[in-house]
Amino acid sequence: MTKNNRNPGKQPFPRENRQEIPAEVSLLAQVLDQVSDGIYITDTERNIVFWNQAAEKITGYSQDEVLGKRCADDILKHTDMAGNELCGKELCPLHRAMQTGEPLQSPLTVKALQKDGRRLVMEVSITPLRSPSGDIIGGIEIFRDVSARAELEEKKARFFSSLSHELKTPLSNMQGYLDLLLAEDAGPLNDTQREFLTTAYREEQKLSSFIDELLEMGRFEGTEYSYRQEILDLSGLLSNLARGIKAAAAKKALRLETDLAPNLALFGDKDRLMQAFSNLVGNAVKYTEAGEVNLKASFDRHSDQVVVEVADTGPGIPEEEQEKIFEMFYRLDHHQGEGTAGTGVGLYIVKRVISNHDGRITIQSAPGAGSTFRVYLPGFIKHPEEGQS
Amino acid sequence: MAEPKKILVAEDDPGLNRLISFKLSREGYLPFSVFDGKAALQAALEEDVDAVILDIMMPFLDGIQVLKKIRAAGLHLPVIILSVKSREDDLHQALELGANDYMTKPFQPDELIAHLKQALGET
Repeated sequence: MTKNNRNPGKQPFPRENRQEIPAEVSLLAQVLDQVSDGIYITDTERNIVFWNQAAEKITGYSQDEVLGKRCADDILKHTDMAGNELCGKELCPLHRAMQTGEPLQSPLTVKALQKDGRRLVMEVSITPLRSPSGDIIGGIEIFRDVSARAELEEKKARFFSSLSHELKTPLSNMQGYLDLLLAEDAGPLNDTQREFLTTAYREEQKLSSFIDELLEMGRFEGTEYSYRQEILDLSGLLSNLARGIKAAAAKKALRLETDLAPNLALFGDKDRLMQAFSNLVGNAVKYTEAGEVNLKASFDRHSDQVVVEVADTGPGIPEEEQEKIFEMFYRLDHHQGEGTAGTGVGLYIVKRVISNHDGRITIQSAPGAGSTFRVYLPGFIKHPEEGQS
Repeated sequence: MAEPKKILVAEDDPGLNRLISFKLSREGYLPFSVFDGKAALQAALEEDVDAVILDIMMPFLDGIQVLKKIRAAGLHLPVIILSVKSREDDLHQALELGANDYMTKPFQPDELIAHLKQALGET
């Protein structure tokens, strides 16, 4: 069976036959051939009907080799950054775009197979293709090779990871031994000794906090391409997070309540999202002196979003400050000078991570009435039997 | 008085290892110190310890590998992971693999004891 009678009416556009197609289409095809991004167009069955020159150059496949083939199944074998296959029908971003009729909100970073077997890191934009009457007749994928940048960012991440270890180890020693001395675990202290050690301890805490945030910023800034998008078990991630923070809450005699719907899933970067949610829950515990911290997660079927809620009974945030707390280096006045040193990058990072996942964050708070942060992220329910990655 | 519980301290930094061991002794536990992953695995399998405090970045075998092998050997004793905050991925992986809890450096010795008591079911 030839590709042409498999798809009557949606014939591929090989370059040499373009005189047979309408003039405006041919003109457009010439333009698309000249852009430096790889572009291909499929019909609704994801069979490739157009493949530009940049796509040939990036992937190594000529148009003759790909026209009529199923896009990623046969050719590029897209995976997420962790290597999970994306070509299954439900997960295929192109299929999803054609189903929903909506373009992908922001470019996806995927790995794709080149003809010579090498895996490229590609940034991919996807949009459904509509006929003049509005029917979805196919999909367009535009991609560029970001392997070099991704590799650089990988290196940067490794550097920050080892820098972090190198800086934290001596700090942990200093803080730990000062702690032991102040707890008189190593014998009684006189008042002057206690005063001096307390000063050293306080300054060490500040230093530690600043270094923390510096490192957080350092590994965060300019690393969009190193986002490892994969299918994430959000319910599991949040329950692990709650487990880790339980002791810190218990130490302050705070109740930590969790209400997590099972099987919540999304496409995202595990490390970054863990960083964001741990900042949110960590803040709630840090700034709440009595009462409870609530972590909830649910799925909103109307908007296909997961909703994560972090609520505390802390001091609350005045309305005029609620926008500003997400700005870089912003700190609430009443937290200055207390034991909670910081430069104010935590919530900035939270907001950036969430918006890089096409999500949004809201806050509901008033002085004396606690704070509730809500995070909305595009997601889905993934039942365990639907194919494990 | 009951026998003191034996706690394996697997941490390659000598200062931190001594710090943790010192605090454990003060709290009535019996610390057993090792300074690399291989020794940690051997001690976990052979020393009949009640809990493990496990650093992630260690020579020869990292904490994740040690944890994996401990669980694969059918040992269900409490394991508390020590790591730096910038490695959430590791922490998440460790919890998936059956770690009971984690602490990020720098930590307060009291806090570590609180986590340990909780993991041992003493609170």
